[in-house]
This record gives sequence, C-alpha cells and structure tokens, in this order.
Amino acid sequence: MAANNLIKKLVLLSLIEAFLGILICYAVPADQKGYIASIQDKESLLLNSKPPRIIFVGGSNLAFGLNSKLVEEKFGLPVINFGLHGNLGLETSLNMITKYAAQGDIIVVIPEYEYFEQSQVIYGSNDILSIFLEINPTNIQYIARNKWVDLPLIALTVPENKVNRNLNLLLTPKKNEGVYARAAFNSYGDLLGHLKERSLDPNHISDRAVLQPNLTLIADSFDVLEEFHQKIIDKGGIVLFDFPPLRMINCKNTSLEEFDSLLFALKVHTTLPLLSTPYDRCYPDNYFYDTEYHLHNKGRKIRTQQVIESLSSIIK
Amino acid sequence: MPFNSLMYLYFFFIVTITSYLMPSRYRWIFLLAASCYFYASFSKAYLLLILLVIIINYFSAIAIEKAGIHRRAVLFVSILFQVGVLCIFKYGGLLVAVLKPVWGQHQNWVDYLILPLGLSYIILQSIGYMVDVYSNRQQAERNIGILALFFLFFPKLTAGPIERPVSLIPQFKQNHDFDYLRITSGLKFIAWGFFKKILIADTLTLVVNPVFNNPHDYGGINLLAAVVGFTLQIYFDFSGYSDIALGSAKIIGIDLINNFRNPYFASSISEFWQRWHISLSSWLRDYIFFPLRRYLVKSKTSPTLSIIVASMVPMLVSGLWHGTGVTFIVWGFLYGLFIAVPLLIRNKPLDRSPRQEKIMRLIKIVLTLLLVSCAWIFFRAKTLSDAIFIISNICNTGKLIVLDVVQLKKPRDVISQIKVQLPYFRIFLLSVFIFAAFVVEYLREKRDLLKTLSNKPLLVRWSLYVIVITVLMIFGTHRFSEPSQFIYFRF
Repeated sequence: MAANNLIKKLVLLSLIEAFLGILICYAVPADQKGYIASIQDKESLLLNSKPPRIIFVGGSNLAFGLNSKLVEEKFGLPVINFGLHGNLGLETSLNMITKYAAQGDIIVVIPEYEYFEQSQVIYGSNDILSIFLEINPTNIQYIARNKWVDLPLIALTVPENKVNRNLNLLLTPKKNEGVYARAAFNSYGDLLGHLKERSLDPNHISDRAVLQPNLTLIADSFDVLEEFHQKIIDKGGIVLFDFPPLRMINCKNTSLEEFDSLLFALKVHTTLPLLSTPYDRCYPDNYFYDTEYHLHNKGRKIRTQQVIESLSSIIK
Repeated sequence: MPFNSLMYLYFFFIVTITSYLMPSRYRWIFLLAASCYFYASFSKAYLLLILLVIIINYFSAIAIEKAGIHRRAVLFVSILFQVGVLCIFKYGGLLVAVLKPVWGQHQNWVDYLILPLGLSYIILQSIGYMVDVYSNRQQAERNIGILALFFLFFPKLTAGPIERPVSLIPQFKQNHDFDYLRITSGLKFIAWGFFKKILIADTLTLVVNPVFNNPHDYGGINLLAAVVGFTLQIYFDFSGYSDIALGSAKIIGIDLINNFRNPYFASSISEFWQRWHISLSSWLRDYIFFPLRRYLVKSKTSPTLSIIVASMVPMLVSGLWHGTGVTFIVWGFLYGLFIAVPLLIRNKPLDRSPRQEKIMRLIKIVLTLLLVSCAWIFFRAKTLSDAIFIISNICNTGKLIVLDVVQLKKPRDVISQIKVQLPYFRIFLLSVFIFAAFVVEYLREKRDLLKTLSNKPLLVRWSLYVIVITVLMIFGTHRFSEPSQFIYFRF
C-alpha cells in the first residue's frame, strides 16, 4: 500500500517535471545562431544536392581547414563539407550521411585522432548532442545506439542549455557572433569566419601528443567505420579515409609507434582505402588558427591542394 | 560510478528495488554483491586488495578474542598491518622520492602505487573494529560476509562516514520492511546533497581551481576570492556527498552517522571539529586522544605538556591521514595549535549580559571562520610556498583595500578586479544558492526540518519539491554528464 502510494507520487512528480521541461523547451527559443546550429545547413545540402557528390565528413578539422570550392572546381562534382565538431560523434555524422548517401557518392572520412581513443568522439558527448537535439528534436534518429543509455540526461540538458544561454544573452548581449557561429560558414559548409582573424599565439596551443603512449585503440571506432563503409558500398557509393591536419610540434610529440600502430589497425580492421599517412598531414606550427587541428589561411590552402592530389588518383 | 553520475542513479534504483524484493535473510548477500560491483566500477584490481584486508581483519579479530594474555600483541600486529598497508599506498611514492638519490632510478613499481579508493576510510574503520574487539566493546563478527559488508557498504565506501561496527553491523542483520517515511526522507537527503554538490560546490570549482593551480598569475583580491570560494566549496562538496550517502543508505534501511552540523557556525576550533567530519573527529578522539590522555595522566606528564601533546598528536595524524604533502602536516599542526592555545590561556569566564554573550559568540564565530579559512589555504595549496604566497598577498591586498575604502573608492571598483570564469548571472545565482543553503542548514540544526516540512500543507511541500528539482534540472543536469570528483575521494 505504502509502496503504491510512493510510486504514484514519484510518477506524479516526474510528470510535473517533464511537463515543466517540455514547457521550457517550447517557450524558450532554440539556438539557431550557434556553431552546432550549422548542422541544419549541412543537412539541407545533403538533402538538396544531386549525386554523385564528394562529401567530407569528420570533426572541426574539416570545417576550419578545407576549401571545398577548389575541390569542386577540380573534379566538377558538388562538394559538401560535413565536418563540424569532434564531440558531435563521428557515428552521429555517419548516420546522417548514410541516410542521404546515393549511388556514385564519394565520401571522405577524416576524423581527429581522438576518435580512436575517446568514446565521446565516436558516439558524441552529452553536451554537444543535447544542442544537436535542441536544434531539431528529430535528430534523435541519428544518435548512436551506445548513447541511448544517456538519452534521459541528453534530453534533460536541452531545457538547461536553453535557459542558461538565453539568460546569459539577456544579461550580457553579444556584440557579434564571432568565429564559432552558424553565420561564419559558407554555402559548402566550410567555415570562413576565422580566415579574417589573427591566429592565437602558438604558445597557447597545446603541444600534446595526439595519440597517447601505449594507448589502447578502441575497437568500436574501427567497427563503426567498417559498418559505414559496407552500408555505403551497398548504396553504390565509395568511402575513403584520410588523416586530419596536425601541427608539426604535435606530430613530433606523438611517437612514431603510435602513428604506425594506428595505420596498421586501420589496415587490419577496416577495408577502407587510405588517402595518406599521418606524416603527410603535418604542417608548420604557424599554419594553425587556435587548436592543433584548425588550419588558418595558408595551411587550409595547402591542405586542400594535398587532398585534391590524393583524390586525383582515385577520381578520374 | 561516482554519486553524481547517471550510472549511479541507475545502479541505485536497481539496488533499491531488488533489495526490497529479496527475502530479508538474503538481503545482506545482495548488498555485499552490489557493493563489490560498485567498488569494481572504480577499480577491479584494488577490490582484491580490499577483500584481502577484510579477510585478514576477520581472522585477526577472532584471534584477539581467543588470544588471552597475548591479545595485546595480536592487536598490535594487526594494527601494524593495517597502518603498513595504508603507508605503502599513501606514502610509498613519497618514500621512494626521498630515497631516490640512494636507490637510483629503478623504482618503476612505485608508479603503480595509486591509493585505492576508500582505503583510508576502510583502514580507520578496521583499526576501530580491532580496538573495539580488544576492549570488549564489540564481539568479533563470525560472519565474514557481514563483516565485508560493514567495510564495503557502498553508500559510505568511497569517502565515509567512518562507521563504528557497533552501530552498523547489527543493522545488516535486522529485517528492514518498506518504510514510506524513511524512503521519502532518504530521497530528500539525496536531493539536498545534489543541490549542494552540483549547484554550489561544482560551480565554485571555476572560481577556486584556476587560482590555486597558478596562484602567481593572480592578484590578492582574486586570491582572497579563491580562499573564500574554497572554504565554501569544501563544505558544500563534502556535506553534499555525506547527505547523498546518508540518503542512499536510509532508503535501503540503514542509518549512517551524520557527518556535519553547521561547522561554520562554530565559536571555537574545538567546536568546529565537533561539527566538521564528525565521524573522523570522533574516531580521532576515541582511538587517539583518549588513550593518549590516559597515558599522559598515568605517566604524570605536566599539564601544559599534556595539553600540547594531546592537542597536537590527533591533529597531526589527521593531517597525515589527509595527504602526504608538507601542506597537510602544516594544516594539522595549525589545528593542533588553534586547539592548544585557548586551552593554555583559558581565563575565568566573565559575567556578561545575554546580549553581550550573543555579540561575543558572533565575534568568536567570525574569528573561528577566519582561522579555518586560513588553514584551508594549506589544505588546498599545491605547495607550501604557494600557500605562503597566497597568505602574504592577501595581507598586502587587505591593506590596499583598507586604503581604497579610506580614499572613498567605490566598492564596485574593488570587486571588479576579481577575474572569474563565470557569467554574471551565474555568480548571482551562486550567491542565492549559497545563502539558501546556509539558511536551510541553520534551520536544520535548530529543528527537525523534515518533520516541519511534513506538517506543512500539501501544496507548500510539493511546490518546494518541484522548485528544488526544477532548479537542479535547469542549472545542474550537465554536471551528471561529466561528474566531477568529490574532494574527499582522494583521501
């Protein structure tokens, strides 16, 4: 009897809280100007462009460091830069691509190195996924199955994000949107906002090794890639793999054994054609904007040329 | 699986439901299995070490009971073993660092000596258990499973409270029926614990950590803000943890010791320790202070020396128990000093009117809080030189602030010098939460708040529940995604 009474009250309390949460979600506007909000534009590019296309997918290394227009001019195919944020989870992006991929599409996957050692870069982190849901609740379909256990938390973070962002904006209005904003992207999905800005002092960018010594690569990261590869083959497309750009100092601080073991694991556990090696994508430190992956003007140009050269051997 | 994670909430939900569905005689087995799983979620390897310590404890306690005239020797050996295990893991790194010049560079094994989670608490409890068996306050437990549960019971496993066998072991053997009031009060404890940990302590981390990690990058006013911030953070972090632990245990039907009673309202350092981390301070009192005092009286030591030794030794042990750094020894020494000095210069009480008495108490509370905050600097600073730098800079800034006030500068100009990585509205909210928390804690001490609450009309009660949960949801949900460690986990 007492147990029933408690259960009833707990259910009622949960319903009241759920109602309040939904009310907040409904009443408070979603983030339509932020960096993650640009995923909507990228999705509509997938939806509205005609195959065959070249689609780049990965983290922010792509958003900051690729000139899609040059690629389009070289190959004469529509190009979509689907790179956005590492913590959105590569599987989330791959799920979106899988939905829209069609015969003839060439998909180039370029994840950051953390993808192979941090589960949040494979499946997404709760904070970024909650913004992803906030922008469009139907995005829930793209969230990786491994994150379903966190879904209550991700959903509860949506009203939290909304309230906090809007309160913050109300009390300290922003003068401009800055580099990390939806408006900073062009029609290909490339970020341009940083190109007019000065780079961060190189001393303030981390020199860390991007693959930790004696690291254990996460088996799931290869499984996700291979599964995606097979799905795209079934749809008549091609998947290629490339390495992200990296600052020379970070390349030097990451041991050769770790790079080699990653290369070896990719060859053993996946059937993906590799466009380069990690060493091919190391660039001078002053080519970078604000992190070890975000290229600035000169680096972006050189990296794009190198990617075009690598693709030329495959796209005739 | 820290308390402030989604995994803990899932785990706790399953454990609670299953434990009430279990036949009561098998309940302790299920709780033991759940506790082992809880520990293994942090470290599987160290679970074996902890189980080994428990097995040795089990046989040692029975041996003490049976040893007759040799019981003192058995007690001594078993305490030596417990302290030895703690020293290897807690001070092994320090010892090797000291001996490095002699031994050379070949002690890589020391890298593996990471203090197992909860070991410090388990060792204190096991020493207490041995001494209690030795002094016939407790019978040696014959059921090794129940004894293991005493040490491993998950709500108190990682950071206490440091329980006594006499109060906890019998509870595992009792039948606990579903009790509506007990469960709802447990839920309220948990919600209040989350409020303190997530909304206050975790937010204060943003004020405290950057400054204490690099104190030389900050001016005096920031250092002062960080010290005030840490004084609040450690209280809300640890008392938040304790409330979650108490609430979790309560829901399962077990009562744990309340670890806090408004320590920042204490009017002396001795009183502070009767209110702060009560299970540790009472352990120090019962197992170090009392035996030491008995020895000092027996050996006819002079009263002055007795006061100094009896005040210093438990506090230094407390400092060493918390950490290996010199800063912790200084922290313990300071508390020993703060306790000993008033005892040495104790004057005859003056005749004061109740009003004067009240004012005097208020002054004493402020002075005690100042001393406590000063001691926290040593507790939190990375090195002794950092702590001294912080204190000297705060003193210099104090002078400047006084000068500013004398020169009629606006207080806003002084406050605006504080660099905090928090939006203004979060600072405002934080202040509101801290104020509300202190009011609730104060009222909690004065009366039985849960009872008072249950006497309020339904609408008032439910409004309060909805407000607390909504505030937690709107300002604290993200903390469950990346749960921050409780400060006392590392001890």
